[in-house]
Amino acid sequence: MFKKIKIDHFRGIAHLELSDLKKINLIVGENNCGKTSVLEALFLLINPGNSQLLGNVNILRGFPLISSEVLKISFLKSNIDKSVELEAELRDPSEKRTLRLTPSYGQNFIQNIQQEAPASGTGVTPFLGNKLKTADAVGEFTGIYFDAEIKQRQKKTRKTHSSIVLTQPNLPNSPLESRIDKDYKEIRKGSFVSSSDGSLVHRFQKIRVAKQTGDIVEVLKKIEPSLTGIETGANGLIYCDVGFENLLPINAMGGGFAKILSILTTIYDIKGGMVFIDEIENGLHHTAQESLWSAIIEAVKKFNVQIFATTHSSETVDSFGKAIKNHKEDEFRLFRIEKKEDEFDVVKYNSEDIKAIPDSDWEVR
Amino acid sequence: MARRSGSITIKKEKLLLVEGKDEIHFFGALFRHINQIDIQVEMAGGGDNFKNEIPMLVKTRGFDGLKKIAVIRDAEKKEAVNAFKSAKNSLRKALKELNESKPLNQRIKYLLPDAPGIFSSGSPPIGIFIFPDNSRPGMLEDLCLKTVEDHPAMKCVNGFYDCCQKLKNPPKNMAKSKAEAFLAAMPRPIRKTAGDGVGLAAQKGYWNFDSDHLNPLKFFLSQLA
Repeated sequence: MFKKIKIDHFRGIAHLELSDLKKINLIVGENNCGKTSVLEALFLLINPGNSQLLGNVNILRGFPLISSEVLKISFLKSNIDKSVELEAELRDPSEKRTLRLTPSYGQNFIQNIQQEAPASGTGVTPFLGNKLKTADAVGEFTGIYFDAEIKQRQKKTRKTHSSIVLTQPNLPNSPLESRIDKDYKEIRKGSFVSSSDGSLVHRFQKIRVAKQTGDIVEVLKKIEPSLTGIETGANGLIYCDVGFENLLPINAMGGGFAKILSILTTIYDIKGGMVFIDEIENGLHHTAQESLWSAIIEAVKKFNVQIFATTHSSETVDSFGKAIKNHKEDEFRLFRIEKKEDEFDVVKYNSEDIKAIPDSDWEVR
Repeated sequence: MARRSGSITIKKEKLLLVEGKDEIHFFGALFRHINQIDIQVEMAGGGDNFKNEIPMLVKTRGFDGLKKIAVIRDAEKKEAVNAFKSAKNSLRKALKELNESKPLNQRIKYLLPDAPGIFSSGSPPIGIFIFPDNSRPGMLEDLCLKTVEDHPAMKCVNGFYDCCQKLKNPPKNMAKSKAEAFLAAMPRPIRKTAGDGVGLAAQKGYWNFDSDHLNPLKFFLSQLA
């Protein structure tokens, strides 16, 4: 579980620190204050030796093409002169992680890679080691090096190197290759919540195959007590059994049921890891938000995940406060990020503060 | 306090925190009289509400941009020093928590005032004023009544007060009763709502804003300007 994160020169963030992270963390702030970038930085630090994750977050951001310009966006104001520095402290087990992103330049870099490590069909090849860094530093920006360190108490520091490379940097949409240290092995898991129907059905099928739908139904019963089961139909749709003669398609359930199921299946899928939910209010009526939080709190306990969510919505913030009202454990945080020119201020609300939000007149977002 | 959907943000550089709606209207009228603008006046609740409200208030957007902060509270039944200490403790605790919630480089060293009526020398300066006069027990109503002590209607009010004293169960809050009696003696009574009597009376011009009794308050407000 993440305890603290420090971000330097990443995306639009010059410097930002969030400390005292808990099981459920909600990040608020105005547009372009860096909320999504914080989620992305945390996501990269889950697997700091896996450069492919940067490609994944770019896809999530909706960048249509892969080009050097898109890769440069990882650096503050697309200025590749300053490296990206990410640092995190985690617990269970206690460890410190650092990840430095530096630019790679020049044709020699690519030629070296192509000669020594032919591209695999998956786009992921073993990383060849530090000698690549001695490649010609003159020329065009062609990719990003990932240098990560994972330090656990009384254990030798693990260092890993990987890279993400535009194999044809002159093309407006270049193929992208990740090269990962062949010995790199990651034990932590993390995922962004995807709201697409296809991925929901896929995740739900996995739960069915594992005969674990009962766990999900148990959490959802808190929202819909008449629910007795969830099934997939021959048409690939998800149906709910609420005691009627026929099963009901999930989208007919109302109250953002499908969205909540999407979040729950992601939490289940990532058991013991971290789940990221950008703009958690999307697709959910404000009256369903307290139910959403109740389901998340229940699922977090059951499946031992850490949640990082962002929102613009005051209803979401209020409903978070209402949903945790009767929870005594100090496992909730809200962070407001304030961008002031190039500075980033953070104001933290602890569990008791969050509980006071629904009755407070003072703006939290 | 009435819920306003968590919508209050700090928009100005000078903030005056008062107890309730009465004070909001009172200071609105007083600031117009002394031509003082650019001060945001907000309710922070009376009694224990202040203690509960202040931690959320200091964390709201814009608080760390404040150049000056003033708090005005009622002494109530005890000497002003008690209300002063109580307000100071609530502020100290909330500001400490605010700082602890921030990274080290974003923390502000807040200094609190040593006595009521004067501002601290820190940045931002912080001042606490205790109604009615930074010394005696009482509240806003006591101060308002002082400003009209020479008004002919006060004879009626004092007669009413003397009569009340002889009752077996006299009014519990004599200052409020006297203020209401004074306003009832005006040619056109105000249409007051709950928690808002002397404030609306201030808007109607029933209190004497030129009274010397307001000098300590005006001096305090001049430090906020």
